[in-house]
Amino acid sequence: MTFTLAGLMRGNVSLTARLVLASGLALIGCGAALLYVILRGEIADQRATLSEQLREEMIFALPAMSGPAVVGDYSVIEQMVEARARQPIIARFAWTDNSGHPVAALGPEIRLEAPRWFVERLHLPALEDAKPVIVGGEKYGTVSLRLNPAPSVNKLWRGFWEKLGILLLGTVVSLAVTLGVLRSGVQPLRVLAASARRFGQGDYAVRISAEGPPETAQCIQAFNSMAENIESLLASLRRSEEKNRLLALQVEQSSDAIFSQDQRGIVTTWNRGAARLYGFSAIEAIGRPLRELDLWDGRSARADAPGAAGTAALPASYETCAKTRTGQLVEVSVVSTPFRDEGGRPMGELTIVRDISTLKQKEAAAEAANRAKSEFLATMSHEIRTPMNGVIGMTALLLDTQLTREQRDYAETVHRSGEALLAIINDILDFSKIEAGRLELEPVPFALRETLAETIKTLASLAHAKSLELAYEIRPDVPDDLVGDTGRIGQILVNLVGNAIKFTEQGEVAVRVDTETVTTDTVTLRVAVQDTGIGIADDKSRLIFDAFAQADASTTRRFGGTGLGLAICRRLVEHMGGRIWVDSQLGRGSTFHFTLTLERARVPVPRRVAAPPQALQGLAVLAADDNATNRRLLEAILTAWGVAATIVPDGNAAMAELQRARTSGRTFRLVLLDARMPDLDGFAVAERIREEPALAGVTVMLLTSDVMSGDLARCRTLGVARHLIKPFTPSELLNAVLLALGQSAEPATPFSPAARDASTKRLHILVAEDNAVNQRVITRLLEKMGHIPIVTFNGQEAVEAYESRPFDVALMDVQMPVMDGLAATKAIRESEARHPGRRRLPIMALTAYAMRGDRERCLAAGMDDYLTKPVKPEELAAALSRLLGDEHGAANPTPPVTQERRQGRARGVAARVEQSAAAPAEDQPQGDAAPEAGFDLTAALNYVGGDRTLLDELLGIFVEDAPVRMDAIRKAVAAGETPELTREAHTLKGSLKVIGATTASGLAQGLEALAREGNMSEAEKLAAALGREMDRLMQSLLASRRG
Amino acid sequence: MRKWVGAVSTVTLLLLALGTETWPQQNQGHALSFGVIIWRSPILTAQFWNPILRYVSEKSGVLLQLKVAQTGPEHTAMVRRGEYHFLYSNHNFIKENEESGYRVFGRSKDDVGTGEIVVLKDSPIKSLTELQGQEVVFPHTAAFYGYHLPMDALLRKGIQVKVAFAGNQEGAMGQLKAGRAVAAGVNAAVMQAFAQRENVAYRTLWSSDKYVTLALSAHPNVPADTVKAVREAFLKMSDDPEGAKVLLASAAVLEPPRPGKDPRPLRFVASKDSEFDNIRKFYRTTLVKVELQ
Repeated sequence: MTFTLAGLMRGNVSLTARLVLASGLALIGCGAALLYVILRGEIADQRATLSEQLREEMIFALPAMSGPAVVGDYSVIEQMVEARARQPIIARFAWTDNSGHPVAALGPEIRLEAPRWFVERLHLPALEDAKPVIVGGEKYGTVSLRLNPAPSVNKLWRGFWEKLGILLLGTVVSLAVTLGVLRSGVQPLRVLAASARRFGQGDYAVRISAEGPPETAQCIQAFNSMAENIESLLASLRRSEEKNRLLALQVEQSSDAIFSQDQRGIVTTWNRGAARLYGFSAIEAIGRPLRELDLWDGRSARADAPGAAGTAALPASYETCAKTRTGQLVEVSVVSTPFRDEGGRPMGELTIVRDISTLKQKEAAAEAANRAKSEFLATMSHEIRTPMNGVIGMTALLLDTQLTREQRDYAETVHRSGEALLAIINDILDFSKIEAGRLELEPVPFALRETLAETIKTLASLAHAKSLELAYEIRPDVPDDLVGDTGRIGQILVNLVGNAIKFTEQGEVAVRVDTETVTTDTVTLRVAVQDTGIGIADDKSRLIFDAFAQADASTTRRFGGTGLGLAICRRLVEHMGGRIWVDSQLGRGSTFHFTLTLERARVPVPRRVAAPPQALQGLAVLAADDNATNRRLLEAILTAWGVAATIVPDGNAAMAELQRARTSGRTFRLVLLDARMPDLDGFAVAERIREEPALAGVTVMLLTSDVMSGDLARCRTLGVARHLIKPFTPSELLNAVLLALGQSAEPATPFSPAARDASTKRLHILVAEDNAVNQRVITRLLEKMGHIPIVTFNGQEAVEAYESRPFDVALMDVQMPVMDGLAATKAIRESEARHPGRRRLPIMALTAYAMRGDRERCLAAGMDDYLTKPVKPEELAAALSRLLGDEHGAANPTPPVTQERRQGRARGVAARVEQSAAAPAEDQPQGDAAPEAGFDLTAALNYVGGDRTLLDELLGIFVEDAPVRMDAIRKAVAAGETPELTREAHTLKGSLKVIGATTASGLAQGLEALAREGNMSEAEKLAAALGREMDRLMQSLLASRRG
Repeated sequence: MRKWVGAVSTVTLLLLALGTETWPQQNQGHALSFGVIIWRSPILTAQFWNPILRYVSEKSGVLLQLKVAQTGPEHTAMVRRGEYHFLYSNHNFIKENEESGYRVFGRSKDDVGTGEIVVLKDSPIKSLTELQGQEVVFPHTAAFYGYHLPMDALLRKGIQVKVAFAGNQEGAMGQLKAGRAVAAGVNAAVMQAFAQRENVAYRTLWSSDKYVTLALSAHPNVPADTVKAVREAFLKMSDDPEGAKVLLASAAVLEPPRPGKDPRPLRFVASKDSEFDNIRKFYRTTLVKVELQ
């Protein structure tokens, strides 16, 4: 058995033994080293001492012996020898005279205590010496000396034992102390060990009181906290296990099929729901590849369906068809979620499948019901409108005939009731459309002030009929260029203002527009419609925005209405991201507010209001109006123009201001007077001004809410330069003011030369159009407007014409043979770029494509504006005005899009300024008047602005041109020339549209589409149908011309 | 002769073996003993005389061996018994030893001196009589110039003084200087040197005749040619460079070397017995109880 320290340390030896042994060994080692060092030092000391003693003895002995030697006194010599030898260190002292006679003495006997080995290790020096005694050069004898090392050796030996004893004693004491300390320190550790054992055996409540040195106490504390942690951990583990079991139970018992697969697509779990749905038991499913189970209907299987291609990376939720074991298909919703370990590595996928076949059936039923409802509504719309058209149209005709007073009364009542009924039906249809989610917004850039003014204006007559002030105000900081669905915004306004007028007996209705928030991209408008009407009770004010609700039933009886208007408003506002609410006091009036968040237009919206001329800058203007809202409006407009406006609330104040100005040497250049004011009305003030010679240079304008008979005559007699009906747009006011100031005002307007030309001279207009009918229509319209059209048949000719002579404007058909409108425009723009001196030619696109994106395409090609064919006179006039910046030359300021959708709702004022014969067309009831004998005479007449002569002319051209076109179509079909066929069908379609031959134009359109697709077999059939329809149309046309 | 030598050798060996103190002048046969007064310690004596004797032995061809007595009385007794062949001493001049018969053949050239009784110059004492009952300091009882001569003079004049001994010459002088004693008995030459060195002003109350004290003598039994050879060697020694060198070295043993000043070496000169008649007379007649070194 070998015993090594390392072995001891590794072996099963207690810590105490290890420590004691190790420290004992270390102590002994250190002690031995110390002992060795000390002994070595002492030995060296003793050696030196012995050598020194020998030397000293000799030094002393020689002179001491000299005296007696000289005298030869042997008794003294003997005594001295003996005396010297008595010293313990001397072993032998001897004197020998010259004759060799020795006198010697031995030192005291001293026993050597140290063992031989010890003495041998001391290596003591030579201890013997002999020296002659010489005095005065004579040798008397020799002294010899030997030292006894025993005392030194004994001293060293005793010292050795003393130190060894101290070392051993120290070692023993230190080991004993170590042992004691360790025992007391280890005791708590034994307790700790015992407690840990108990803890390991399940006694989790065991804790130890912290005793002993801090290290042990820390151990115990650590044990206690560990025990606590483990105990709480175990508790939470138990809870979590409980939860897990519950969760597993829930999953297992869930009615949904829940299963999971690992990365390889092997099924790892399969609950009861899955077994029920698919018919595989958990035992059958688990462990098998999911693909093998064939859980999905192959036709509807998705690429990422569970088991389709391993596991998906992202959660997916979809509906599909599950295939059961028996092959039955079940509609299901599937949610598959990949699950990952803590490190984010995919582990598999969890799939939850829910049987939704019942739900689907219900959904389908509901959808069908909804579809049926919508279809029913559409049908109803058509079915109700058609007889309503009849009722309204016929009563209108009836009213034009000779009637008795009673009959007229009845007929008017029928007409009014019909119109009211139509309005209600429109509301209901609108509401249905919104409810069905079919409301689509069509945002377009628009100028807020202009659009608002136009909308308000349509309501002016209503207000004026009840002698109500209708005023509106837009805060100056409200941005003007916005993007929004102007039709729908107008609808909201018309509704709210209409209501306000309806429920207000006297006072005013005011519209105020402010902003809530303005950013660089968007603006939130806040619009308030305030009236002084009957008001709404608090408890009702929340209800009124609900569908089919009015303040109370009596209101309905008294004021009529479906109660849908506000509901529609609310939905429209909400649809546009705003909100609507009302502040009201019963009997004091209501204020309806709504907010709209609109985008701001990136580029300024073109408008008809030119910037106010420099001439107005600083012009002294006096305005009088008793209505506060109107005063604010006037102030806002006038201030914006830069005029020095003084605004007063009544006629007396106006007179006082005039007087004050005159005395201060100032004169008002222009006076704007409200016609109806208390005390001194506008007419009276105008009269006084007229009578005052000092005010002769003053221009007076009257602003009236209504025009009473005789007013105009009074204006003329009073020398009123101009009168304007409220509400007016700022541009109307500007126009009126500029006209009123007339020749006296400087004509230095900032209009472009073209615009000035437009107002003063005839325009030379380049028309590029390949369709003969359209050519004729446009030429005629332009001529009627007093312009000079020059017609070309295609783009190429147009470019040539442009190069040969100057034009003011060009109307360009987009689709033409040889060179289309876009290419021609590009050529013209390029030519302009080559000749910088040449004036830029405004080009307007004429296109049959009413598709979105056309406009952009045209503008991108370099065109300035865009008109959809068939071209209507008012639209053409408006477009020309727009293009040339001409203001009063405009035929109809309403933008085409607005016009189309506004239908009858916002009509009435639009044509007021127009002096051409466009008005009758507006009164035509819109609808699907059935074409009679293949074409609609009314529509055709409408299209040419009611110009029967033009229509006859057009029909004549058509009758000549159409057979040629038909022949070309037949030839193209026979030859299979699709481009030719496309172009001919397109041209014919345009002509047919102009004369209102909807059936034929529809066929031609279809043919064009087929030709474009290259479907010649279908085109052939359609061409034959078109031929037959054309024959029928030609016959009726010839008949009607004859008629 | 051979028998005699053998007998002597046997006796010598016997004596050595016995370790007795009775080895005589014949202990080395051919060497003659040279006794010297107990003058300094035996070692100093040996250091002084051994080189000189070695020189003289070489020059004279007479082997001399230094013999030092243990005490003064022993030396006196040895002189009386004639145990030294040659002698450098004054013990042969005392009354009891006049019978020994040693004949003077030389002396140290400088060995002439006088004794004095001195007081400090400012002392009120003008005559020896004034010393009556006063304390007088002397070197020691064996001092010839400083005690034997002055004390004898005082006793002859009937002047009783309180005697004090200082132990040596300069000690007595120092006590006088310090005023411990009113007067002192001194060797005139030594006093002069002391006064000069220590700047002491003194006055001599009494002064003795000149005396020579130590003499080189030979025992009457020593053959005349041997004495002659030894005498020649001593007398010529200071004239021989080698001898002078030896003398200088021996002088240095007694006088500690003083910087820039060589010790004054011995110089032996011829002398006769008559030169010492005054001292023989003094010793015969003195009232002082004589002690010799």
